[in-house]
Amino acid sequence: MIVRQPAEDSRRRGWRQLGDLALRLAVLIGAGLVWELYARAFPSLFIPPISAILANAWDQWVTGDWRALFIAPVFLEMLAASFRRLVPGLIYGAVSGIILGVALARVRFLGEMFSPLIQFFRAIPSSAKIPMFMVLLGIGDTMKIWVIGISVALPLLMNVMDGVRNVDPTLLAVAKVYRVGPWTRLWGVILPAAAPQTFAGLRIATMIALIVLVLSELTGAADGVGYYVLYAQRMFYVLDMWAGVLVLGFIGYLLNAVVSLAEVRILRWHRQSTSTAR
Amino acid sequence: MSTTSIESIDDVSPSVNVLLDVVGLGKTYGSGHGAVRALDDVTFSVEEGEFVCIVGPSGAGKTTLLRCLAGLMTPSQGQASIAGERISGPPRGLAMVFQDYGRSLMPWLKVVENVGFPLRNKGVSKAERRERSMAALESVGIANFAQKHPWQLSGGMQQRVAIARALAYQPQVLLMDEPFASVDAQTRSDLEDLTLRIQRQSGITTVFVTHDIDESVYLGDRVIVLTKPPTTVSQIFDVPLPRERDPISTKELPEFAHLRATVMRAIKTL
Repeated sequence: MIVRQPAEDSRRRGWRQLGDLALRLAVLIGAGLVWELYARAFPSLFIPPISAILANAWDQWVTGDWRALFIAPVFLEMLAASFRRLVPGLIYGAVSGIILGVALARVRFLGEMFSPLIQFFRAIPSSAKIPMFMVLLGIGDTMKIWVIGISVALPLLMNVMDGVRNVDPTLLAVAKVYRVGPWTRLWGVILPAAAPQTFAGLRIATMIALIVLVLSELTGAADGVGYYVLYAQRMFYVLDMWAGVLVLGFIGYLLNAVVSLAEVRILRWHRQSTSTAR
Repeated sequence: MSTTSIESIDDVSPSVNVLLDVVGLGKTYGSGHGAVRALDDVTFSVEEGEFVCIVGPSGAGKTTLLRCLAGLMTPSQGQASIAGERISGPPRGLAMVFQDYGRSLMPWLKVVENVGFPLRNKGVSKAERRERSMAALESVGIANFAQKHPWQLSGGMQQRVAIARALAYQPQVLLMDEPFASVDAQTRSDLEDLTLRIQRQSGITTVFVTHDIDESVYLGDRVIVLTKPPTTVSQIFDVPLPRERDPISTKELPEFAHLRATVMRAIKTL
């Protein structure tokens, strides 16, 4: 009958979560320590100690100006340049990927007609799409947004199509028998049922978006985090290069966290229903 | 094959209100050499307020028949009509309880939301939707689980939710497709009595498909026996039992045992 109990009071669960967090932080700090010790034990120009990297980043990116939250304008400009490309690319790609995925899965002849074309486009590596779009759209932000958008939309679309096609036919029959309108069928049955796979696609898509962002900034840009990394590497500013790489890692982590957070909220039913052994 | 019983019903009581009328219904899957004739020629009618059970050997196209009645499938021949209106696509005022309860409820909705789901965007206010859902849950005895999710409930409970969903819809006709085939015996008996009680209270015309002969005799006002595919109606039996039924005393009546044996023989000798 009723399976789960609210039992375990929230205070105890709170402590356990805090313990988990502490453990994860410890592993992270431990990894930093290993790096630090290694770099000090085997000094190399290319693998500086992490303390030196952080100190250098601090010098460049942190100011004494509290009104700017101690963040230096150069850092903000660098981030802004990247986010100006990343965020619209992600949003356009995600929205069009979901819309197209649902349409292609629901309208059979559309799916059949377009699937070879999509497969073909998807097979072209994103790094090769950049020169292609450069020819078409120049080297500006428009090109970068398009490349990110398409690199996001294609894999996401495949996932959404899969999810929509695998909606349980019984649920669709229920919707039909009870004469549910097309709008309710879409928002009340198809999209929620396809949500787990959509989110799986979205996770992959955000990671791809970051990769493509950096690639596009390596080829035709004068600002942004990707450009910063490449420039620093070319100039042998090794400390700067490492700092840029760490920033990229941080952005990726943040993006993933945002998607996870949305997923946890929206897919609570899915996690719990699949973990309920019956 | 005795078509007499079909005609006799129409002849004897021409004044009763036929709500569901099935005439020469046939369904063929596929075409050419691979074609499978699931339903050949099915004819019967159901009166308003009646509880009709349909039994037949496994693979007799019972589910196909029900899907045609629900408008989920288009028959290849013949037609079915509700209140004189030919069924093409899911008819108004028809509810259905599916066999796999686990897959007919939406796991992302709470129980009460599942029950109210068919009433969304139907000109039913939110308050009324909630009220009707809660009343339906009340009548199947699981109002206190309204805020749970379906997967937190047992199979029998989930099927109660599906029945509540059908009730909240306030249908004219209720189709039930082997609804209790996969619950344990005790739960099944409880659900049968629940279904009977609700049918008597609401007077909803009910067509109940099952492969269980006991169940069909215990629940039905009439039992329709189908043949093996290509399926036709083999026989129709009136159930000579009092309308108030009890899982113990009804089943020890000689009429029950006799009809049960007769139906079983009818299926065995197909």
